[in-house]
Amino acid sequence: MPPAQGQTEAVVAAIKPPIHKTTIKSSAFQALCLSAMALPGMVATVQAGSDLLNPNPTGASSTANGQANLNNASQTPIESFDDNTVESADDDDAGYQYSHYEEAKRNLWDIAPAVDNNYTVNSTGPYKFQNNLKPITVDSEHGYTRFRLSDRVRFAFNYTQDVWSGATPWFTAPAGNFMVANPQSVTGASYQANGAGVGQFFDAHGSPLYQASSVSLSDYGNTGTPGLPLTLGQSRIQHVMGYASPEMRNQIDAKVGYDWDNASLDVGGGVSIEHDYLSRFGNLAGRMDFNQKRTTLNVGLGYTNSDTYATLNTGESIYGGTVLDPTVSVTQLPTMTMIDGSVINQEVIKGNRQDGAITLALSQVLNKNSVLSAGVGYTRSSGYLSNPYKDVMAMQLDPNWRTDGYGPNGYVLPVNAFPGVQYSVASAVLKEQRPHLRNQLTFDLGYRYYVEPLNAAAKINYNFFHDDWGINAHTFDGEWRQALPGHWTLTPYARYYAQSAASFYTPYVLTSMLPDMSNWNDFSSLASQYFSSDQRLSAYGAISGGVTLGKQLVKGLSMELGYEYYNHKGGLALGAGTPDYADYHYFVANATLRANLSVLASAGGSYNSYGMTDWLGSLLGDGAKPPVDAHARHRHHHGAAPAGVMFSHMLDKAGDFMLGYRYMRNTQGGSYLNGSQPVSTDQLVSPTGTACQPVSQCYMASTAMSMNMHMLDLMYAPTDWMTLMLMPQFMSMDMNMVMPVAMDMNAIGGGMDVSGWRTYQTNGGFGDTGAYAMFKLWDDNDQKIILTQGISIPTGSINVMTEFPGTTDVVYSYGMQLGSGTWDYKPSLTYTGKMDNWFWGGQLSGTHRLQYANSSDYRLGDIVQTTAWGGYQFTHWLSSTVRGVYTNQGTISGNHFQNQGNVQNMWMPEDMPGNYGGSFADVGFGFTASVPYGSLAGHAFGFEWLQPVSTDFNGYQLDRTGALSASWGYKF
Amino acid sequence: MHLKPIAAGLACCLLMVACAEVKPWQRGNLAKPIMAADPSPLQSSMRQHNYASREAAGAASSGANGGGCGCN
Repeated sequence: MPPAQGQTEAVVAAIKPPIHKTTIKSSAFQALCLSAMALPGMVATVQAGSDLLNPNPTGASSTANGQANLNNASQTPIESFDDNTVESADDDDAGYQYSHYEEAKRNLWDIAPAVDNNYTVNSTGPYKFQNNLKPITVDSEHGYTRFRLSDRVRFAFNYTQDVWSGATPWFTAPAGNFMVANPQSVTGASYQANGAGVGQFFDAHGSPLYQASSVSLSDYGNTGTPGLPLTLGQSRIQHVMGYASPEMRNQIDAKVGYDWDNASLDVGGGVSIEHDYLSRFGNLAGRMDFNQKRTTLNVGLGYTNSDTYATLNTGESIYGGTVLDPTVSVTQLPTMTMIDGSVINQEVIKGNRQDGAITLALSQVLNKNSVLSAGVGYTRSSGYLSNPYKDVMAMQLDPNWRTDGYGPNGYVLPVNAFPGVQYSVASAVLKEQRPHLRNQLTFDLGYRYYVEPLNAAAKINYNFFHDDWGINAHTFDGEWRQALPGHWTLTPYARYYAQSAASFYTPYVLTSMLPDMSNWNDFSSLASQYFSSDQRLSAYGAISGGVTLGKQLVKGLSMELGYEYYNHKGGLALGAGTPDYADYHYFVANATLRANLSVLASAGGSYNSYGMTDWLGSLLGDGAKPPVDAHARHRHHHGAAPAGVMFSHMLDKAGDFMLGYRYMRNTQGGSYLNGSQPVSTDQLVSPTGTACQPVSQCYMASTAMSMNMHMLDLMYAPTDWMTLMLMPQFMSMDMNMVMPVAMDMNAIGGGMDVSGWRTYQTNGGFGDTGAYAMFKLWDDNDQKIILTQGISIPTGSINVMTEFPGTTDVVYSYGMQLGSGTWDYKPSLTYTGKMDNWFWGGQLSGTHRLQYANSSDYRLGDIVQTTAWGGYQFTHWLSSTVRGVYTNQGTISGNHFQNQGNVQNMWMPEDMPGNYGGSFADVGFGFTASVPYGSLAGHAFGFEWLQPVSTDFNGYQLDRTGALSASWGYKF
Repeated sequence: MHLKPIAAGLACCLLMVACAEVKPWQRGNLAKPIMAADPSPLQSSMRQHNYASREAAGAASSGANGGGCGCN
């Protein structure tokens, strides 16, 4: 942090947030404040007093996630002057969070051996087998910013992206009925219907039994000896897991708030988009303060309208997934006829749900150290409330199996040795059916207490939930926020949650066959009933705990690391819990960076009394003048390189920090090119096409691809001549596909059910991480030469798979993976120069893979890039650039190990290592704007569009359609 | 262990007159970041989303918020 620019100014900066902007503009009061605040001992008094003059202290805060803050009591008008924990309550801030959620593998059970070749049942019963199904993981990023548009108007914006994949419970069945075909496989979506619910014994309570031992069935059939043949043992229930290919959710929401002296009103709304689910929501939140702000009342109203559009996957078409509920809309997608004449049919579940909520919350300052809060809420949900991917297994039982010949092998037993035991004669897998209405009530109580001797805060909460589905839930949680020296905060916390089951929760549905057998295999009577096997509606308890470590890196910039472990167990329920088949646990790790923009600016020593609005005003010519020395002090983004160029800029002096964010988006679309010659899709997929050699024919092709990279720049200068840089990145990508030819997988050794293919692939998550050192080789103020030495650390996954129904799951194509898998060397040499208002530069950069192959047996091609640009500085805050880029990248060598010897895994050009890289020329147009002074001084924004002008691909690739780069940087 | 303060707080709330008057300049402790209702809003919104997609009661507890699941 640079030294303060003078004591008066530094103090103004420190206490600026609680003071109203119009107040500070009132010069008489400003002079008074300035003189008073220059004396540190008087600060607190002035602070408290200034509140009386302040019609709107920062009391009206909003949380970053778009909700009204339930409790505003903490946002009191005075600022803490304990510098150990000082963090401005100012509303101009921005933050970014990355989090990773991962479930543990669940237990799966089998019965072994079920039946041997001699029809002798001699089983040792259920046993746990190794489950290698990749459990569900979710990678999320969340960015937000909020700032004041004027003294009384606030604005907040959030962006969230989740990408998840992995095995999740699909339905529940007695052990031994469904087996994972290859339990050693990583994904193994394919289940073999091993009996699939027919021939299963149940006891009088509906618990599954297995055939423990018997003599040969043929013997007991012939002799009919009473009591001999059959021994039954208690079996187990297990989840049948399905692997979900990566799916993505994007959410944006925004909120505008208005503050009165003792009240505020917030209006917000947003949209959440998934391929199969679209949700729009709006909310209204009001706050009123009473009793000199000791009491705060919050009222919230919310409305959500969501559409389901779920294409049923093939697994369900194999085993059922039948929709019985006549009120659920099932539509047939238009039949697709392939080039080879084959036909694809797909069914879609469509549904709409609406949720309306009202909340009322009260918080009360009890004394100078404690706050109590209480709230009630009511939510009404109506419409299609089921999950389209959750199924329920139904089995039809024959109560007379001993006498009617429907028993094992059709034998009739003369004596009832098993009273109450029933035997299943038919089964079906049905879509879950939930009621179409749900009324929910919640009640909250919270208390937090400041423990003065320890400089810590204790917080406890209780929540009670009740709904008309029969669920009662209790949540207890507590946390201890401990402030530590050196601007650290350590927060351990624990939580216990317990719920009872929904009245219609069942692991599976059992029905009875009539004595006359007229309803055999008929499950239509279930159409009017409700049932779900979703573990979230079962009776269980969950204990979770974690720790959050916070650190204020510099004033206005803080970081948080969090970890949480969560354990769901039937045995932890408050009453009788669901058995352990639904038990699982997960962990979440998150890292958060938050920047208070105006505090950062203040810390940098720029003028606060000249705000951004003033600066904008001066641009519009309203006569306001910048501070006299503004130009001398403004940050030198003069001659900034285009947004798409990295490593063109070093920090000026030892001790400087810079925080930046870069976004890059690459798109492909239009037609395929072979080299630089267009190829039609028909040519590409024709039997004589060569794009998929050695498979000899492509079956699918992409129609559009996009890749988004979100990069965080963290720069630090340990010396004047060297700048270190760490660049973590979050990737996401999308690909739309067509399959003009139905795959004749038998011809190439596979067996795929074409009705389950999807028209898109999506992926996202943490990518590779760059670590760089930049060296100043030459700097005469007008011309600079920078040498950068960098390493890319392979933190991105290269084994992301897609579910491919009916066959083994298939690894995503190379371009859809999140990283290179190799340690890469990334050097660059950059020259920049400027004269008057002109500036220019050039860069030579490369990426060299340091390993022969990554852990999946392949290596991406090396990259060499040259670029040169020229720019003109129109004003002191705006410049524009034009540049040319030439890039060359080699093909991929090797082949992903999942594809080796599995030509059926390679059905589109993107699966072929030879169809990567090439030589490309682009022209870029960009502009850069930097805020020269005011409260946001030092912020620089850049945009650049790269337009392809020449493309010469290696092999067959979808044409390039351009790239967008955007950057934000802030030096302090 | 904090049942006593809770009980005390409840009683206090019911009998509002009994509350000690806390002047604005006596609220330094309450204004500390660690005493904020939600000092880590990004993290708590993420946790809330995880609970909401894993528990029957989660969705309603997040009140007037909206959004999809991002889960299965």
